[in-house]
Amino acid sequence: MNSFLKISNIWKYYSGRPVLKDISFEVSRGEYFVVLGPTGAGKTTLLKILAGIVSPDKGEIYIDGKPMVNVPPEERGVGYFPQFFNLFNHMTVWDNVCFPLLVKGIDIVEAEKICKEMLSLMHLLDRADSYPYELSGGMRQRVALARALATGAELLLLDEPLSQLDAKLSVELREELKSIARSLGRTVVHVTNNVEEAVELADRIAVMNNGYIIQVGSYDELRRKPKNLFVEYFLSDVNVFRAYVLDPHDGLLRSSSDVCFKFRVKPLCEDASSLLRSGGEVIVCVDSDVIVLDPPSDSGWNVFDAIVEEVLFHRGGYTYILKTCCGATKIMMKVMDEMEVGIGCKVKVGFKTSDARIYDVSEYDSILYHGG
Amino acid sequence: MASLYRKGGLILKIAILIATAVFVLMPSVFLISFIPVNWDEIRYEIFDNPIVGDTGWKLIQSVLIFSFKLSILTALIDVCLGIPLAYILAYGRFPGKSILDTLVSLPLVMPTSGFGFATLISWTTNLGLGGLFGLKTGVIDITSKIPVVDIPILLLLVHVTLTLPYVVKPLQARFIDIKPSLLEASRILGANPFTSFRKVILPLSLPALLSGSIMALARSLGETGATMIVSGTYITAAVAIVRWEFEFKIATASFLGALLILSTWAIVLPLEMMLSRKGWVSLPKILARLDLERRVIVLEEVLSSSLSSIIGKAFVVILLLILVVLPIFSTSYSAFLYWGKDPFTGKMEGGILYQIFMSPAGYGSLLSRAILTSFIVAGLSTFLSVCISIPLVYIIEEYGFGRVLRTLLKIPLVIPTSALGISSMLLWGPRLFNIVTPGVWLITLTHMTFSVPVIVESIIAVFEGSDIRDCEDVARTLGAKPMELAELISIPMLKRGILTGAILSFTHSLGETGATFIVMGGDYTVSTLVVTMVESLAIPAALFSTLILIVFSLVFMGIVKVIAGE
Repeated sequence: MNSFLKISNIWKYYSGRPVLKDISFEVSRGEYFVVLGPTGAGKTTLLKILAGIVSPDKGEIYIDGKPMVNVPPEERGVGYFPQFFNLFNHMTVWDNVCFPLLVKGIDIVEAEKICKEMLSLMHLLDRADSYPYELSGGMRQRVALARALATGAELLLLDEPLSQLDAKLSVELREELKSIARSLGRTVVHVTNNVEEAVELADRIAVMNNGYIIQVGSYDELRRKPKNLFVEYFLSDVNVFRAYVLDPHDGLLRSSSDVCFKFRVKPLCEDASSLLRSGGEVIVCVDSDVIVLDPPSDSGWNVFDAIVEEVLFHRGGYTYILKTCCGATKIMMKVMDEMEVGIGCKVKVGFKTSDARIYDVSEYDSILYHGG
Repeated sequence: MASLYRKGGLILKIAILIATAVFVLMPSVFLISFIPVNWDEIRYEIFDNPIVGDTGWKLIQSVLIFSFKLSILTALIDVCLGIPLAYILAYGRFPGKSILDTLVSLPLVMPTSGFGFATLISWTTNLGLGGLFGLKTGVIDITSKIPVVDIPILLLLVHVTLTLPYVVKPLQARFIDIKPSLLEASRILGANPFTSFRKVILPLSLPALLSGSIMALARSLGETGATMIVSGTYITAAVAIVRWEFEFKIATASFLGALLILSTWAIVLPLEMMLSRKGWVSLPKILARLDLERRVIVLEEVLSSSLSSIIGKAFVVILLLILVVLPIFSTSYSAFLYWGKDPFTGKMEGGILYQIFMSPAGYGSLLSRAILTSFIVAGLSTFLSVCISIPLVYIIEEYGFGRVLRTLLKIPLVIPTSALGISSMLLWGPRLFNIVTPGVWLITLTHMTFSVPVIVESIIAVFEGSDIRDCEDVARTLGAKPMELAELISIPMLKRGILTGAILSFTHSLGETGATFIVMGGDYTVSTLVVTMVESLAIPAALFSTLILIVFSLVFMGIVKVIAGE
């Protein structure tokens, strides 16, 4: 891989507490790389270290093969887009975008040309003489992007560039962002806590939590082979059950909080089956979109009677919140089309024993903390 | 290149810290060292004089007691008047509010000696209030005093007016900061406006009220310019230092100065440290314990009528008219009467024209020279202070010791300026450095001591209210080098704070009297000249000079308003 940005073993402490722990990854030239994680994971600190605003306590950064840790931000040549835009309010839009060209001492005719190009790319030419505080949120976002692009930097660092915008605008601008980065051939490191955004934009995603990079890969890889419970839980809507192992050979489990809720699992790999020890507790994850209505009643399926409690509509389908009839375990089921069952209806649902993924019970903490 | 910048930055920081220590902190503590070093001299002059015995010590005790009585009473009255004033200025909506707002702040920029003289003629002569009521004399005499506490009314009046803004301004700012939704919530829950104020707003504003009234107390303790003019036969500690220094009783003056500095510290520093750490204070719940609360609320309901709001506003207007506007008008009116000749005797020698432009005493040239001196000193000390203050703000914001440094910077603002003056004189003069003698340069150095803290505070206010730190970071990633960063981002973003601070420091320097008297040598400034004129009974010349000071301060007030409204 032709790696353009290489980060190895970055550590950062704030007043003795580590906020970045042994961060390493590589980004290839022209790649759109998204760092995804909940708030407080250390994403912004990571980006600031890449920009040179914060210096790491340990570790190395290479951009295009050159070591960067001791290079001050003004000599790094990266385009940094801060989370709250931080536009210079005492300058017009034009002066904001021209700023990097001015301080780099670029010839004035050339600078004006680049500036004009950037503003027209962002549809901002007619607001060039406005001040940032006179603009709407979307426009400010474009100015900040134009300013970062005007540096001509090959590497763009975007810190939650869409989070300050209202939902609809944010979705609209996603595609624009990607196409601009593509057409200009820039390498992008984009930080966000929004899964949809990451899925839509990223060539590869790095999932970050609690100062660690947990897993790097394409969305498909992450979905298919999540490294741990946190990755699975954060990337998709899953049902998470804590359960006791009743029969390790048969894969029979019982929910820890609901004695009536029993089901079977069929571990697909050695690691998972080793977790099933008689009387031990495990975490079981079942994707909400593998739960089906009226499942076939053979040994490969778990089948339950449940009552529909709530129906939620969202983009891309419906989510049904069900409650098992015996006991009170809640099950989330996601389908594309509306089903012909209303609230209060009794239904039969189920999932394949091989669709359940098993994790060690100690991993439960990683999802509890972040609003599980 | 980068390491060069880093090294340069470190050297600059150390240089700034040293400059702060030498120009700001040392003058305000140096006087303390005078006591142990010169103990023999002090004992001889104050405690154990072969001729007068310990008269010196008794004198010091009596001026200290009088000073504290005066300033505590002043601070108490400031609090009583300041709370309703700040409330109305913060929440009231009525025409002319911005004028009232300006009037409250006016004493902050007006040279106190000029203001003292203006108050003197408006109360004790028939050119002011007396004439308004058709009296042949003023409404009070300079010697009239409040019975029990034995404090001259006029002196108290002047001190209250000059220190009132120190209570009102921070309180008003705090009131505005409190979210209206809090007050609305309290009202919706059924509390009347008065109760809401007492239970919600006041507790949240206690830190501002406390630090404001401590500031008022300190300013009253150190007030010199106006006090020298209106105190009559009474003498406060701050004035005593100036008088004794003139009588070459250096040991006595320095000892009193050191005592004043120490006692101010004892009051201010613990409170400042507490407030800057916790950010709030709470009062014991006396009312609830005595079960008086219910009765108090009933009373507050009566007070909450719309009539009381009108009475409140009228009270504020009348108060400011009497305290601030009246002196300005009396002075202008008197200057008009005295223009060509003395209105009482008809003699041309008693007129402003003669005294300023023709008299052999040469008041005209003295005045123009004093104005020039004042502007040179104010301009120079402000400029140098700005140069120190901007990097100093960054040091305060960046390092852990910044909080302590910021508290230490409050010292020059609260210690009496005449004590500061004598400390400065001894520090730069014979007792330590021995490089500057009294004159323009020593005045400049002394004024820097309080100019730096004034400017630092107003820059910090802007700094902390903005995203300047992040903007600077972004500008660096965009390629700005340190010099470009300062020129294109930092200074433009802090411009408002720098300008406001500079103007405040400039007017402060223009009006400073206590320290200036001690360090000026033969170089009079306008405000010290006014005191000298009054003391030598050159009333028309004093009138004219006061009028000029008032015009200056109104112009500066206007500039501050324009900047603040930007």
